[in-house]
Amino acid sequence: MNVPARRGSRLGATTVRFTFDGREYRGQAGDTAASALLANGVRLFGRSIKYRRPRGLFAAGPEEPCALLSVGAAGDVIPNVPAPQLALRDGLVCWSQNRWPTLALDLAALLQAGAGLLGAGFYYKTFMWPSWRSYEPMIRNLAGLGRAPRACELPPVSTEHLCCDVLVAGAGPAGLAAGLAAARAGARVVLCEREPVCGGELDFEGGTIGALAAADWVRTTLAELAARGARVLTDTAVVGGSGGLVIAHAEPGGVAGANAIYRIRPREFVIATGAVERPIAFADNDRPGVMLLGAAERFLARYGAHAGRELVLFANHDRAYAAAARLRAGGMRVRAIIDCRTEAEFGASGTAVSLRDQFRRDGTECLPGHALLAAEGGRGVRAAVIAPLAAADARRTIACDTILVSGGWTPLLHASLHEGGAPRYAPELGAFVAGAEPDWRRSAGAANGALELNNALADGWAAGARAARRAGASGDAGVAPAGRGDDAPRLVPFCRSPARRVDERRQFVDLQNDVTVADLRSALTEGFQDIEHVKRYTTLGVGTEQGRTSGVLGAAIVAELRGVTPAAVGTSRLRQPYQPVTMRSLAGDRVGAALRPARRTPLHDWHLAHGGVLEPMGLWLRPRYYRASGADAHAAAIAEALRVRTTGGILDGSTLGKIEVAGADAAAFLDRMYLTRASTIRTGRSRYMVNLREDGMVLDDGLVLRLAPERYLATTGSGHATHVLSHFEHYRDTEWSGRAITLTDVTEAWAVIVVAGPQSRAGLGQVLGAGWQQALARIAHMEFVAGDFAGAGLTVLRASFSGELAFELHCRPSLAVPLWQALVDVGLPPYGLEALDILRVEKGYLVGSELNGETTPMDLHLGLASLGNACVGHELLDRPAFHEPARRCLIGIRASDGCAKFLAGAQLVTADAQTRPCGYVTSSVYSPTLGEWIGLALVARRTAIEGTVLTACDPLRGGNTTVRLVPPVHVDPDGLRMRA
Amino acid sequence: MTRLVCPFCGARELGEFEFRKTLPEPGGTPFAQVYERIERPALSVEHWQHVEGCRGWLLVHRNPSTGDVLGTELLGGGPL
Amino acid sequence: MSAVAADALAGVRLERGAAVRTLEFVAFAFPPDGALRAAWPVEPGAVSLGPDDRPTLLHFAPARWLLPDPDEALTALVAAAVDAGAGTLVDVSGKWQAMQLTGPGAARVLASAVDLDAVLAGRGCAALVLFDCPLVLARVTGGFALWVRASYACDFTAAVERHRPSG
Repeated sequence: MNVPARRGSRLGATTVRFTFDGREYRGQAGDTAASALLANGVRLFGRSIKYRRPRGLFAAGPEEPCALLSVGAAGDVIPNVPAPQLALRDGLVCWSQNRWPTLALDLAALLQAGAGLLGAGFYYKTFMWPSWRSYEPMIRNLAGLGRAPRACELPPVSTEHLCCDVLVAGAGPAGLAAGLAAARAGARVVLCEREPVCGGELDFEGGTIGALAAADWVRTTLAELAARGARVLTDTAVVGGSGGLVIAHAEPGGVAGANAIYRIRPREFVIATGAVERPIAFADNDRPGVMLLGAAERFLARYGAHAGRELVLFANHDRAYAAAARLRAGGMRVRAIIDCRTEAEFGASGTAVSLRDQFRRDGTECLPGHALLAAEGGRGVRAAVIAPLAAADARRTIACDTILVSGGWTPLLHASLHEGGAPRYAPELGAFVAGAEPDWRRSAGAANGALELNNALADGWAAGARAARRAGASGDAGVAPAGRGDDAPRLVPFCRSPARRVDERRQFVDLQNDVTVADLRSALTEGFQDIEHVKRYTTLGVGTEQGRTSGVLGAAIVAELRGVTPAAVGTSRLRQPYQPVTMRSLAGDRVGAALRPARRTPLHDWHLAHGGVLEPMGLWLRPRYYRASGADAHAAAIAEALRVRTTGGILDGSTLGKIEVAGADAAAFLDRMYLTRASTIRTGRSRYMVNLREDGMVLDDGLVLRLAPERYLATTGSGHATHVLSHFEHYRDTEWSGRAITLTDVTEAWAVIVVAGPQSRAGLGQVLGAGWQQALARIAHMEFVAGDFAGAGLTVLRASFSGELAFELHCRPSLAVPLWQALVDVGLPPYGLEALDILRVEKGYLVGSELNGETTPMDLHLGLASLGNACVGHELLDRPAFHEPARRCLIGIRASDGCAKFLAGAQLVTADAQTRPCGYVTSSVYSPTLGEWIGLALVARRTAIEGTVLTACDPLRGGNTTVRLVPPVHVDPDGLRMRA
Repeated sequence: MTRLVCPFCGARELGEFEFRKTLPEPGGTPFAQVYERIERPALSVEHWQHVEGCRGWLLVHRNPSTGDVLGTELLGGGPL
Repeated sequence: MSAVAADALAGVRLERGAAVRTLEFVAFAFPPDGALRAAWPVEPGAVSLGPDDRPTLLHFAPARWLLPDPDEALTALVAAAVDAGAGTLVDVSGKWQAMQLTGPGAARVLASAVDLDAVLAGRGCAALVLFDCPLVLARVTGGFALWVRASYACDFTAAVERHRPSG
């Protein structure tokens, strides 16, 4: 279709091709999807959420309630983008929503026939028999507007933290004035403007500021702001925040481009977000072709797109005439201007009077004291039905294809009201302005009710100067420029045209949610008087539109129906974000691998290079097994475990938590923190120790080494280091404050290599050399020797978690790889965590599955609770509940049938109480040493007798297995192998 | 309140701190010290730790009804 | 500091330092008593600089100082403090991976994680978590010096790579 090139303040000359609902159209650079489609004569943009009524364009900003498009192809689609916010680019593909099979022919629109049954609250009354679940699939299919994407290949979103003296939201005349005043006073200023271009309404309202035309003033102001170091962010909307933090969302590349989130901490915040036009309710006011008056002006001035050919205007203020004059100058024909103010309210002087006279001379009907009762037409407006307010039955129609409605302007209070705070009703505006604000936040300009250009400039300037002063800037802000724009609107509040009850069902208050005057009346009848209840009952003001066009209108109509003033009704709470923000933007860069950090040991690269299969365990990446050991995890683990018991192997234990505790009071401190005394450990020896929480439960276990009389190394479970460290730090800073104790996390300062198995001593001796041979021969179980190796410190501790003869090497991370490789070279291959689990279960050693925060030292037979050490937690160990016969304690289990299997988590039941478990399995492994499945379990004391037969029930995973109870140490119960 | 003032590090985002406990009434039994607390709408005395900063322990006086923080002190030593 | 691995990103340069001896001195009481005050930076976040403007002593936590690669004079000073009973010295070599972030885009990269001006206001160094990695940060000429906890160093490098300012 050949459309002649349009001229508009935002348009460039280049042609842009795009697709809407499968059909190709052409627009120009700078167009939005709304303006281009409008220029191409498209009238139908979507179907409404509940009744599937055909809808067109209504507004020219994010407040657009009906024309929400889906952008992109099936997988990557971004739903619910308001058409006026969708910037065109070559090749854009977009779709209308909520219709099947096509926009023109929608089967679900048949629901319109039953519209009478689908009033507000019908969700709660219908679809109940036989069960609401039967209707769920159908409702899910019909619900919502767009469809969510199933994948996302879009670029990540960046985040920037900013801090400034003065943040100004909105770069219209008031915002620019505020920014300029603050910048001249010397403050650091950031301006956020959600449109791609600054200036707000100046680009279609025009006017003069100082001695300059409005557009020139905007240009020079931006240049001065840049020169003074202020940051102006366009395509960036302030979307929310709280407690002094303001979040702004930037979409410079369009909705599918590289976006950014700004986290701004301003010292002062000026809200100059402007005011949005609101409609007047009349019957069928949702038809395609009914549009806000200001929207038509914007489409004309910015994009050269005509809202229609034959216009009828319906308004309650003087500005309608200036707007009509501009629209006529742009080439559209104004058939009539319906003014619901009486002749007396219209007044006798002002530009509106002369404009009206001129319109009348040119054949336009200007009718004061009249109301537009209804729009005629199905898929598009065909005529307007009007009548005098004094005689609402004397109807007649005026043929037209577009109805432009304006009931006044609503200040955008979102940035003030997101955090609560009651707004104040301003009767001269017929709308609400911000009420009491904290000192650091101020509305200015139209957002504060200053609708005339001169007032907006003065208000903005004052707010900016005040903010700069409060932020500590001492320069001179100067004086606000004088402005001349449209006259004062002289508005008389008017919210809806008269209608019969039955027609109230077609007077739409909220176009996005299909809420009509009848719904509001029904809510009030049902007893929902408070505006918040009305909102929830009728869904007035929910969705992307968030009450921008419907909020004040709804409050005014509710006030009228209740017979009170709008001030008594108020508005419902406004929600963040101000305009739709994709989840992708909120996630920022926290996606995929960047979602959480991965800690690596010094041997990480070696594991990767040698077939180690690494898995995240807490924050660490650790090898589960090595591919060379077996075909899969199970086989590899068994092979590795068997090898450790027969010859030997090495394990990367660097993730072990290590805390150095030093000072004269270190010994006494550790006595307090651990169940048994640390002060009795001799220098050069270690001991297995357990610490408790305040409530007596076991917190963690590990070896404590005494390095020197006043220095200890406390080890903790991997991943528990910071938790135990916090526990220690808390006591050091409260109960032990002022004492000589220091705590230092040295987890990463030492790499740990475990060398285990019958050949461990020989292999280690070969690697460490002659100097160490004697020490290795003499070292006793739980002793350690500190020395040198390859020019760095090395500690060799003889301790075992596998039950075999074993040594733990603590070396500097730079030495880890050479030492490890040397051990591999002498025939000690690596084993992973799966094998470690097998070995430790065979020996009945405990890990997090048993130390799960619900077990006491008595439950785990740590046996030492009777030694009377006044440690943290000991006071609550005597609780009666901890000594009852039903209390679960640790015991071993084996399958009764050799090849049967059971898994951790299985519940254990006795034969005579099959529905009440007496315990559960905490760990289970296949033991290659014993040739069957073994495990550890927590079982009620009275049932935990060796030899008892129980059933392990696991209905979700494998069914039932018969098991018998055995001592927890399955292999080598006397520990002979590790003491060899 | 989305920021807390750590006496060592200065004003930092709230997410850097971890709440640990509200303080019990002094002089109670061990059981009361661990489990019982008296709720006061205007003042809560708490221990927080600056886990993502200096790891210092803080004594925080806070108004739980409004969320305002009335004061923070570093535990375990004299004033800095 | 030698550049063992230098990643040249657009306007940003991240260099990893070689493995050097690193100590932490932990005082028993804070603020430290009289004898220590004269020689030590005792203000929170205070930093002492060496001859080549390299930070040598960083007060990054209450009663805790980081000494990256201390020279003989500094080592003697610390030993004297230990002997005087003021605190303990821990050899933490390997715990911190030293890095330098330089270039015109360095501040921009860090600003995507934290409000830099607020964190470093009135101090030479700060302990914080950037991109989920715990580290100690100090301003130096040309950019920033960082000591990242060694097990997070790889992730931190990847995060800086992802946040390199585009154009």
